[in-house]
Amino acid sequence: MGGEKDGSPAEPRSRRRGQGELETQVLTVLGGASEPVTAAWVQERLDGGLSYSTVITILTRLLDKEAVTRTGSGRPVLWQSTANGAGLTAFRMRRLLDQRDDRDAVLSSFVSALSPDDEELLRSLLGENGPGHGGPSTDRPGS
Amino acid sequence: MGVFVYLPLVLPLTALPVARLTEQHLHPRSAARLLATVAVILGSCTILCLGLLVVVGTAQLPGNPLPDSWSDDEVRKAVPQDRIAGKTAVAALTAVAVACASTLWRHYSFRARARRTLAGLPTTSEVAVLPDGVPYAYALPGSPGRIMVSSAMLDCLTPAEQRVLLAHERAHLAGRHHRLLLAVQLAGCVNPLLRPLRAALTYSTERWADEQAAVDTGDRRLTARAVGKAAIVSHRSATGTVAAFAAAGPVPRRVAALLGPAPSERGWPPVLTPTGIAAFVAAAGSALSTLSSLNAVFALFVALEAATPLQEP
Repeated sequence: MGGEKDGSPAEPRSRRRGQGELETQVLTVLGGASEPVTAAWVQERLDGGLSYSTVITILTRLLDKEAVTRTGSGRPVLWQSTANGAGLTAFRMRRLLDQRDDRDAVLSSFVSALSPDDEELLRSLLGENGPGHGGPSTDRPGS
Repeated sequence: MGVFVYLPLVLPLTALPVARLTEQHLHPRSAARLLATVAVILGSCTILCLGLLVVVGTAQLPGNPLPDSWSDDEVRKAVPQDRIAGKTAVAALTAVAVACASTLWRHYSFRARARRTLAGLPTTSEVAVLPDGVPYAYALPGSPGRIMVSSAMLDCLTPAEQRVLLAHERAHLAGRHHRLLLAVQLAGCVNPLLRPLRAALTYSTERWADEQAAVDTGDRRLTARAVGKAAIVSHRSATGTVAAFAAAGPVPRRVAALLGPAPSERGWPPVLTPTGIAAFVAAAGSALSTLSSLNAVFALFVALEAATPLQEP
């Protein structure tokens, strides 16, 4: 039963985790800077000898996630973390929550996923039952 | 004991109608407790049954640590197909142990990681607001339990609706719903026939927390609106990702239930309603399973005692 993890299915997952690790490291370095810095500045302070292009890739990915901002449209592109301490914690928590299998087994979310039909149904449920029209809608939609 | 020894393995089939009917007809609190109890009883009986089969079927195999007399002809006659059943049971019991251990490990390691992550926040109050553009809200069990809610989720709700959300999550923590969910998850590892109970229990605990929030805030419509609004906002923000939409969620049913009248708190429903039948089937299945397990244990015990010379001179 223990031999299943050697195959290829495990590989993308561990690589993704590795990337998340790097993102956190970059964010931590950026968080230590008091002003916007260049990617080279970040690269110097990261252990693990990452290439410049890797650092740029990570920064770009963080930009997509709105965890960093890119300032200075001119020659030296400067990067700044949008996150303070709490923001970094939030970022780490999101990374943890993105592990859906583990998360769903432990936490119950306030609301679960909707299908497009569900959304329409919800809108009509909430919309049609205006004040003074509290009629019981006990029919069970969807099942 | 004859074929009855195999009954506890199959009786969890009674869990299917139970899961379906209770979630629709019982008060969510009673439904959740009933489902968890049924799952634990039927799961324990499955383990007991497998254990017996292991003892009887393998006691005479060379190299096992059990006394040979435990599996003499008298005893083995009690179990049809004892050798095959015994070996299968060994494999099944091992698989059950591995599955349960890994479930427990994942549960507690996830909780520990979440707790360590939350330690990075400057505040240790019950409600941890995480500055995040993605709307979400979770209850993190533990002592003390904490409520993790993203700023985006709070931003899209009015103060009254925020109170609903917090009351809902507090109800999860106060009712220790994670224990019920873990118990049913473990039962599903023990016997796959018990798996349908998990979805039913998840729904029941959500409904339970909804009802509690409606009681706490005193407004069912407000509660319904908060749940519906949160779901729509989460849905919209997640449209870019792929994973979330495999299955339709139970949120519309929750909202519809909240817009209807409050469920009755009565403990045990009348027998001739669908609710009553569901509860009756559940009780009968569990009782039968327990009885046949106990019967098998007792019969085996008597046979073993007869076979083993207990009084040494």
